[in-house]
Amino acid sequence: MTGEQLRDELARIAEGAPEVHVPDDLYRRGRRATTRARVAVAAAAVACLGLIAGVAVPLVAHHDVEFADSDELAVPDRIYAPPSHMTDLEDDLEVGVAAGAFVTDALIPVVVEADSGTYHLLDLEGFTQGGFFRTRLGFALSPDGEQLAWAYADDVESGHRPSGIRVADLSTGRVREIRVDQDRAVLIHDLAWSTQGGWLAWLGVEMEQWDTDGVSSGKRTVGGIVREGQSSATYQVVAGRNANRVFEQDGGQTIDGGATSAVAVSDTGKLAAVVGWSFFLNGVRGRLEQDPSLRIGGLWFLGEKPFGLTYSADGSDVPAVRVMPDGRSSPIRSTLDQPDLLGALGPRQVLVGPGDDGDDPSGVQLWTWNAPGGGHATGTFIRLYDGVLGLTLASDLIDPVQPQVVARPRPDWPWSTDRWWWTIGGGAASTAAIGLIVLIVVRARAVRG
Amino acid sequence: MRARTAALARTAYLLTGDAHLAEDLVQMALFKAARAWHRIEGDPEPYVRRILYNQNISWWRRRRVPETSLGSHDHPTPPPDDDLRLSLEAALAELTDRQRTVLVLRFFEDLTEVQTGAALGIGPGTVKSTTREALARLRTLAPHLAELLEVGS
Repeated sequence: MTGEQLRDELARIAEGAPEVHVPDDLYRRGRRATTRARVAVAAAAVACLGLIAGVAVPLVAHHDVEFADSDELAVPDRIYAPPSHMTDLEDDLEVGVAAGAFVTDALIPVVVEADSGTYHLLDLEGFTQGGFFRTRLGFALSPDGEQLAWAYADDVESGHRPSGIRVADLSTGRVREIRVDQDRAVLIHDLAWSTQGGWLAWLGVEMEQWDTDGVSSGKRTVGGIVREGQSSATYQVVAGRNANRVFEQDGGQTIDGGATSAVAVSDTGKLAAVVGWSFFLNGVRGRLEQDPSLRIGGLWFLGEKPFGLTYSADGSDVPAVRVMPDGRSSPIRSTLDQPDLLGALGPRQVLVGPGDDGDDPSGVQLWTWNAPGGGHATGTFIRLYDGVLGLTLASDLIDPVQPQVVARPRPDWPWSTDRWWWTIGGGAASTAAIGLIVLIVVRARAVRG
Repeated sequence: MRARTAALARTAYLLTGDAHLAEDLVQMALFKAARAWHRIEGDPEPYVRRILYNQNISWWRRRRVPETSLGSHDHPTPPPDDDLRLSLEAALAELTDRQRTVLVLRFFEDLTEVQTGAALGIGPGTVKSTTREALARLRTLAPHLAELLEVGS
């Protein structure tokens, strides 16, 4: 016999092979399995990308901003809002000189250190958070960045709430209290420092009721000034019953045209305020023209002369710097059509940011004007991120001739619980997906053999 | 491929020596081929056969398949040369998995040494030596089959 015979014998043995049943849907099941494998691979790829985005990108992004070269006090080129999950507040106000102060969406006050860029979320005693005012917060950083003022109202069991201003010395943490209420509690909604920081002006509304049973504003808007280092304030009626348009809302009251509320004090102690259509200057009350769309984005003094940022709520007029109340107006070419004053620099220069209702949240500009020819704005030189409200800047730290800011890294905020879960879950999913891919590849290779 | 299932089953039966395993092996090979159907160009049978060989090898490596003797299933006994065939089946069952596979590919599938080596992932020299060892072992186990096993290896 030969190899042929062996082949024949093997063939004869093979005749005993079983009949193999091939399911009718075998190929359909195969295609489904292939589809499932592809979906698994795609899911794994997405999971990997998610893991990379969740872990690697923040690590990379952490290093894409240069640190300041020096320890000089400076304003950062970007201001971030802390994430909403950060609720641990500091009650020690000895944080050093601040470059800026603002309030978050959750109405948490924040100061940014000028020498390190560190963010401090503060627990400010009695802070009113603006009460029922929609856009005014009663919160201001001094031009030198060394003092932080906020409106307060303390809780009491009977009688009206003691209310006024507290001023923290950020170098020592000591707090000075300036009580302003007289017969009624006062909800202070605007605070402003003089250009050189020697005076602080306040503006608020007398309250008819302000307790757990309800909130109701009175008819008078009051204001005053405080000299540096003192613990008492002047108290003047700035506007009467017709200045604001007050209406009821959800059982409380809201002041319409919140835009039209601003206060300023000169370096010699002159008080100026705008409330609705009413203008107040050093004890004398007058009226602004009753243009329904007129808004005042800020008020300040240049010497003894009050100036205001004006714009129209409907965008019909170009923003302008106006000698208040009805003097010469210098239109400004700017991308900010609803500007908000953040601080006054040298002569004819102000720091301007987007108003809370504005449509350009990008950042801070420097406006320069020369009467009567109008003025111009720089490009955005401090970027603001969403959630930064009521910002005031330490304007003394910005050179009006050569405005400079310093690059700071994004704060290394602690991760939220949700982010931890997503990262752990994403990591586990990615690991499983990678394992699945390896398995699929190994099996595919085995099939191709 | 459905028409070639019987041929695949015969090869699988010789490779595994077990009817149930042979059925599983063929079904798995067809399922894997179905999953990769879009990648197969031309005649799919060689592709399926490769899967069959490799899946059987994979089973050895995982040691999931105990050595089983041919003829352990309950099919009807074919009529001619029963004594001789049973002796060969019994002798084949005494070979290692690799030896049996090499013999099946070389003498039943009629592959060359190079093709057998490529199918099993081993060199032609190994195929040659394994064939020689397998035939020698069969001759030892079943001396009366010496004439049958006198093949050029």
